[in-house]
Amino acid sequence: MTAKTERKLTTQKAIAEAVALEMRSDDSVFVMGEDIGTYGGIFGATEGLLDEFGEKRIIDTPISETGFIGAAVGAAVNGMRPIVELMFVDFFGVCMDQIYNNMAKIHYFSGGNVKVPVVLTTAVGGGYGDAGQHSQTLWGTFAHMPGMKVVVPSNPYDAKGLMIAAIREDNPVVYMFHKGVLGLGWMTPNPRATGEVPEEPYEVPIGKANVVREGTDLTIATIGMSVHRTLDAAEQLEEKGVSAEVLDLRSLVPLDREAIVASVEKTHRLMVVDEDYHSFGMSGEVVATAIEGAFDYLDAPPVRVTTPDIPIPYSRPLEEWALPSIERIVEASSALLVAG
Amino acid sequence: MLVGLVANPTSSKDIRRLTTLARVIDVEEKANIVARLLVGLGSEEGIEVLGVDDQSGLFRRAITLAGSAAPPTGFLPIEVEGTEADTRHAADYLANNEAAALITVGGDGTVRAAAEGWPRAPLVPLAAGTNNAFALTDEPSVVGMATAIAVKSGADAFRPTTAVEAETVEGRALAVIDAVVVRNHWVGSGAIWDPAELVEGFVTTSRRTAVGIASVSAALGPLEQGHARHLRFGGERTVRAVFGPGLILDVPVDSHVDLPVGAELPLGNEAGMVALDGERRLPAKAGLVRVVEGPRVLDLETALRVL
Amino acid sequence: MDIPREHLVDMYQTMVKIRRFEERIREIYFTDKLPAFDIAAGLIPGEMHLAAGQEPVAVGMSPHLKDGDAITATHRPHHVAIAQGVDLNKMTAEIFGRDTGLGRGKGGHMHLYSVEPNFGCSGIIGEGIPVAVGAAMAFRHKSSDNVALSFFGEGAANQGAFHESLNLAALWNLPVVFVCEDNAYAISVPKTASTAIADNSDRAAAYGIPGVLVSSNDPVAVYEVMGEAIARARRGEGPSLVEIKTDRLWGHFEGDADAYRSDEFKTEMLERDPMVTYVKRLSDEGILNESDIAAIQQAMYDEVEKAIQFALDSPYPEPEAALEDVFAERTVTL
Repeated sequence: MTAKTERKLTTQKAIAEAVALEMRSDDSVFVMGEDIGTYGGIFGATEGLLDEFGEKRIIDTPISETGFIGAAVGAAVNGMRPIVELMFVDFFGVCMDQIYNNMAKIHYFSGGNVKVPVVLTTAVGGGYGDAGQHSQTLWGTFAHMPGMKVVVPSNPYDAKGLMIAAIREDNPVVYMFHKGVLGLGWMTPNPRATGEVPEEPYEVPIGKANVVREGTDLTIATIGMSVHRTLDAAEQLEEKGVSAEVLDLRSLVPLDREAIVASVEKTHRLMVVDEDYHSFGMSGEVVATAIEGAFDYLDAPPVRVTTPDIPIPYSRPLEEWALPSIERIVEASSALLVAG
Repeated sequence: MLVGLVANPTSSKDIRRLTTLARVIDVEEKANIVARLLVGLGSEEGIEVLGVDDQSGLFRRAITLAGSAAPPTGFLPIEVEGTEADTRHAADYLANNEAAALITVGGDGTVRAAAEGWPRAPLVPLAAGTNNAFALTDEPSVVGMATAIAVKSGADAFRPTTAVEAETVEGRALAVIDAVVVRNHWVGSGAIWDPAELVEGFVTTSRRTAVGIASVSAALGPLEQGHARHLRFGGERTVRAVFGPGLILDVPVDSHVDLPVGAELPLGNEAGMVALDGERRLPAKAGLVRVVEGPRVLDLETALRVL
Repeated sequence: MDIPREHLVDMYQTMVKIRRFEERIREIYFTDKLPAFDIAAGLIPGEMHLAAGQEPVAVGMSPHLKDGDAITATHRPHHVAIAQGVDLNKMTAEIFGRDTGLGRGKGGHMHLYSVEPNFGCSGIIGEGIPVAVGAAMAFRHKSSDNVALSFFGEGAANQGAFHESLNLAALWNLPVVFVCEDNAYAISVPKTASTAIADNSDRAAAYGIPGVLVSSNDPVAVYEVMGEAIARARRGEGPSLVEIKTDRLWGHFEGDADAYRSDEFKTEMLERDPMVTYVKRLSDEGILNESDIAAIQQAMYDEVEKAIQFALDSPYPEPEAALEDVFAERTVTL
């Protein structure tokens, strides 16, 4: 047991460390985005990097998402490995063409001849009163469109490993970090946002889910901040004698369908907890996967705990009610166990 | 009294934006210049101003900007092609309708085209071009007012100038400042910015503040009224000239001689093209240059002294 | 200081190749689609946007390019691709949807990507403009003297991407030449109905970069201006905007009735067809005689036919190939 493996970092610091490690070993990696330089990223994803790497590789941009995300595509096509930040995923509306029509399709249109190694980082998630245009998760939207990988780490260890893997990918990767898992000092304290992180570079494979808690009575497949809520709910369920298996999906593209099916084959009941909007998204996809792959194993119809199809409201009681909460997960678990 | 106004929307946008420190004078800026001219012209009663209704909407915009201070305005009944021909046709119309003055807003090329349409025009050339060797660079409202006073008073406020006419196999063309033979055989982007291009030239002015080929002439000493200066480029001796905006160069000038109105000189055989007032235009084959009387140009001081 | 004869002739030759290519594509496009036009039928399904008349805009840059220069273009890309030297066989095969195409049939006429030369085009208005900015960033990072060029129409100059890109390129002093092909119509909407100002070259001043207007569809004028703009960018002096007035001789797309442009306008365009005016000038100057011209035409026609035959002889991709090339295999490992 060395001092290394006992070192704890917040998710935010783990992300910044991952970027730094890759930038040290590969001169073609650079970062650009709004406030990612001097400020270190408004969520700290690039903290300390300007001092170490200078302004030629840590580039603060004007508020021109179409311009600088398109530029990231151009740089990637020409031998660089850009990390470009879309400050809040909610801002994708002003620049989505460059993301889903350009970045995601060039490799295909070129018959595989042109590679686009871009990492598009973006902050997602609500629960702290930032209202309808600054609280969304939207991974369903990004995962729905072909040509870009989508990863959503829930903890410091995965955050570092997925970032390193994302940078080394020769494909566009949308790296969505939930603000609630970062361990930021100015957000509600979250003990699950800090964890052991090895100092050396390592990868967490993109496209592989992780069973973060083994169980036998039901599978709860989830992602991002909802992993924390689900683990908290699982502890409560344990006290009631219910053994929940928690599956942290970690990636949505590729989606680890085998892991979903394997877990459902084991527990026979499925819940999906998804902070994204209820309809036409991740939760429906996971349920479809289970039905297609493990229909005969299901003892009850799968249930979903999601955000309803509403703009995320501002007032605390409204927002707390709308977003998936520990209470709703516990309640839905009880119902699921009774059903079928 | 009729005053014509021709503003060129495309002056000051050519390749010299890249080869010198020349800046773009955009259409909005020109509309502003014309608006101020209109206000100046509106300071006297009884003047009507006709302009060109081209696609840029420059004249229309100027009328809007000038508002109620503008004099009565209208559009010249010419067919607008969106080329230099419009300037010539406008000048021709004004010549045939006894206009009291022809105001141009643009570069030396704009003046040239106007003078071609009306060789003895009572010209008020306002600068909005790259070199502006010929045009007035004074505040447009003052120029407008001076023009109004000059035409109303009937005082002789227009001074004679000298021009040069180039005649080649492709026809005749006028230049109000310079006709220069250059080595390049192509019209291309039109402009000249490299003295190594120059073979020989005819310059009508020696104004010390001029820019372009005229600056070369100015460095060689004053030029008598009614004369043009023939320059032969090359050789060891150089003169320092302001060849373009922010472009001060030593230009090799082998010899020069001053020629009176009426003089003719054939163009050399090694010729490429004749550039007129800074723009490559005619092939120089079998050509000659003639010194002629040019348009009459408003003398601001004289006009304003009438006040 | 005269323009090298070789450049003048090369430009003409490339213009002939482009015009012939567009004419042949047009012919083939309509084959099997008529009598009642079915856009999905025939050897070349889908939309087709041809650049007849706009040849000068593309060929003027060619003598000034060097290996590695990056170009992004539009839904009307053939003249630019040919002028840059994109492999004509593979380009034609791609347009025909064959497995030997630039994109193995996955991109088609509006999404042509070539690695050498470094060319890409897109069907979304303005999408390629920021990409050129990024290419220039990469060149700067590597301290190379390559430049990036972005071609777009006068309609695209009203899209946000145009303005953001000029600002970025100016702010970071990047080696980009922004080339606005003004053919006066964005599909059916004339520039006078879409743009608040008269000339897009005027917009350069808003970003603190030089803007140049080339007011005639003349390859020599384009050659001179592109030469200066590209040289300036290579010297590290930053971006510039070049606006070129050109003519789109045919409709916006093949099959376009083009009823929104008057017959008079179309006649005027044909009267100044650059294929006619330029070769006349070359002939008058004694640069090419009749037999030179005939030889060039024959050679270019042959090259175009060869490319078409290559495409026709090439197989279609296997249907399941549709699933391939969404993602690249990993090359960097732990």
